[in-house]
Amino acid sequence: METATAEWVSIRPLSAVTIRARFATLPFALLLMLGAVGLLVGSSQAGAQASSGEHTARTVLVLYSDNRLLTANTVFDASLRQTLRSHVGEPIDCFSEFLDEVHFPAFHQERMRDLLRAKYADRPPAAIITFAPPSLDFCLRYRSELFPDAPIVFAAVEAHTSATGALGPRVTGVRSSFDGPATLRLALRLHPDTQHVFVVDEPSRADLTSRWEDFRESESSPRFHHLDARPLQQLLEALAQLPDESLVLYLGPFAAETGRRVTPQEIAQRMAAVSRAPIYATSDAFVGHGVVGTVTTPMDAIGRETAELVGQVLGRERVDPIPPVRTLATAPIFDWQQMRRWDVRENQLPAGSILLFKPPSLWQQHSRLVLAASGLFLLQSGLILALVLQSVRRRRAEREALQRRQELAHTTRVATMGELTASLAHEINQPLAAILSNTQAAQRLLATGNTNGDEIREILADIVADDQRAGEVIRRMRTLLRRGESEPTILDVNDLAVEVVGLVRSELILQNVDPVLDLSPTPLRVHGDRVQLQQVLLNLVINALDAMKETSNGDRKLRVRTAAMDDRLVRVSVEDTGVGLPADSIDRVFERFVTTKPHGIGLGLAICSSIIQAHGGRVGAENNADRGATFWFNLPAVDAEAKR
Amino acid sequence: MSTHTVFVVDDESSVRKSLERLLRAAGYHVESFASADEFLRGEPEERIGCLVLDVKMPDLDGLELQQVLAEADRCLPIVFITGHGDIPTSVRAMKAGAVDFLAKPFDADDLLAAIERALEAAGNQASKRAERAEIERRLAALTPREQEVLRHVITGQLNKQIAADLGTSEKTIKVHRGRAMRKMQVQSVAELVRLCEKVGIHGP
Repeated sequence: METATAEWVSIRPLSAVTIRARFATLPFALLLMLGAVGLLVGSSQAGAQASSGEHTARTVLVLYSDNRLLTANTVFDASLRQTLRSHVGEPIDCFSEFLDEVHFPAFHQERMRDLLRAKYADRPPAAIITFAPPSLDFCLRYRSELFPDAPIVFAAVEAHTSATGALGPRVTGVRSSFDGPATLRLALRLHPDTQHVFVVDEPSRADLTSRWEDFRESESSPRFHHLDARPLQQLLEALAQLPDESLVLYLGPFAAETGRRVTPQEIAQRMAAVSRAPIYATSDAFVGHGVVGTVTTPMDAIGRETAELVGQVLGRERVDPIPPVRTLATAPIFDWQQMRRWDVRENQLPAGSILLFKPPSLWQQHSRLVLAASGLFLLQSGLILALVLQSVRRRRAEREALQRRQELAHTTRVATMGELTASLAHEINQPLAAILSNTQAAQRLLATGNTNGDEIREILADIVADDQRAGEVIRRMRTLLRRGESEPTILDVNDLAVEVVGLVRSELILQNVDPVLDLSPTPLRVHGDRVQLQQVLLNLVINALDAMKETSNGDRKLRVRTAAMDDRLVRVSVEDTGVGLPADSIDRVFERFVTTKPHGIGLGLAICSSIIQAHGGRVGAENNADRGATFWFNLPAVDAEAKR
Repeated sequence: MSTHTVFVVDDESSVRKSLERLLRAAGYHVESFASADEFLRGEPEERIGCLVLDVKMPDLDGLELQQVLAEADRCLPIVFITGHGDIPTSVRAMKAGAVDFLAKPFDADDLLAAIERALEAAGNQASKRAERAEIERRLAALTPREQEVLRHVITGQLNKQIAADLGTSEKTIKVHRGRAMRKMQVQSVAELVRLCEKVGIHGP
């Protein structure tokens, strides 16, 4: 026999000890305790009433027909107590008792009656709630002996039971339905191809299956079969071998299986695990335990309505008549997970269906979190986008700056070459003249026949050499006139000096300048852009030539010198015998728009300076001791870098 | 083709060499020099010929050489060649008596035509110079008194007038005049006047 359990319907304020116990582990326990102290102080009057109400709190007795493990009982109990708490404006002590009548002989009920009478003698119940017909029968049978003054509120009694006349005074209750036919009708509609319906029930109620066989809705009605609920193992094996197009209607057991203490929900769960057909039941207690659905009065609704009725009964204790019996409607109840398993779609369900266990969408579940995360994500994306845009813009600006620098360098190169036009034309016209003369000489020799092969061969060799020379001049020119950057390479500044002086050779002749190449005996390697470095040296040489315009013919000397400063630096210098630099502008000649030439714009040396700086070097200028000036630039030596 | 010499002065060896070939193929006698100095040093004898001269050269350039030669009264017609001809330079050269001014690269026909003209000029100048030298030689054979008389004769004066001017007898003048005419190898006063004009001898 089940031990009677009593639970406080916690209408009374919680004691400080309870609060402390509940929050003791939390770090803000102290804070809460302070709050609790405030609560206690604030409600001291209510507390005083409660402590005296320990004797005045009325008792409500709930009498269940079965044992405590039955799901329907627990669902009902939870719903009942919750509604009592919120609907009854006074402290109530609510006790549950279990008749467990199916497992014990009938004579045991008298003992139960005596036990209850003795147990509650000191605190007679203000109302008795019965759950399911057996406990109602029990109460009605012993009405005169068992608290005859207490009103009875029954629950879980079938609506079609017509025994209302026999209830007697001060008895009311809630009628509900486990609507088997409606459940089956709905199941057949959802599974229209069903050929077989297997009714699972207590073996003792096998005869009831015939009731289901009467169920006819159309000509194509399925065949009905009975499956014994016990033994369980046999039932599970049967379910695993069901034919196609089957349906299972689970009617029981509602009570736990004795001995092995398996609850009905566990049975339903194990059935659903192996069953080849969808399982429908007539109680919502199984929804959530493998059953697809049912049409019934929801158990929590029964609990709620009963509690409300109890509230009314307690409220009008001394006033008859007692509130009338309520009849509750049924509703289809479905398990969303099982619907998915058996391919039942949501839009097939009748209107007003209760759909349980449908996982709430992320939005429903965590709308704030989703909002916050989305906001954060958007914010972050925006930030990233802004950073990317900024980076793109900066890179574009850098690219544009570099491009402009290169264009400026190119423009000044073109201008420089423009100054050399006469010289370059001379350099190209010389070999062209030689080629033409040689060719025409050969033509004449051949025409007169006054020649031998050797001479012609010589002439042709000279033509080839001259042609190559002209091509080389054009190649150097094109290199300098080319736009954009060339590939940085390792180059010898001695070669650089030879190339540049070669390029201005004619210019030197035209201007009666005597060039001296004072080159280092060993190669001086630097890492750099050949075109840009040529441009720098060319610029310095042309400046030197310009500076010597006023110098008398015999004194025009240009010295291009390359030397290793130490093992880390290479210096290239251009020395002239020109007018020299004005003392006040020596330090400023490499600035933009500073010029000492009458028609200069002051960009050449500024660009030289930026090119050399980009190569990790330095430019400089100084006046010579005797006459003229020396311009130089230093570059890091490559060999030194290799050593590091 | 004449056997006159064409002198080539150019600092660019390949140009020099090609010109030598071309001109030899055209039948000229060619001598070439790498600089103006070299030319001045290497050309002691005064041969009839012409000069193919590069304008721009280190040290003494073409125009300067032209000037040096003119000052030395060296009769050597010049054909200038240049790698980059500008108008002021060409005008200067032509004014100073150049035969032609050719921009490199030039056609052989143009060069040879210019050389022909230069040699022709050189020939003319040479024959004039030879004629003048002969006249000078004849003049040199005259006594100072005969030369004095000659200057008066070419002004168209009569013997009597000359005698009056020089304060001597008409007869003496007649003897001097006859000797001078003979030494100058002329038959008439008109002929004498022409010769004297050629060497720039004028009346007193």
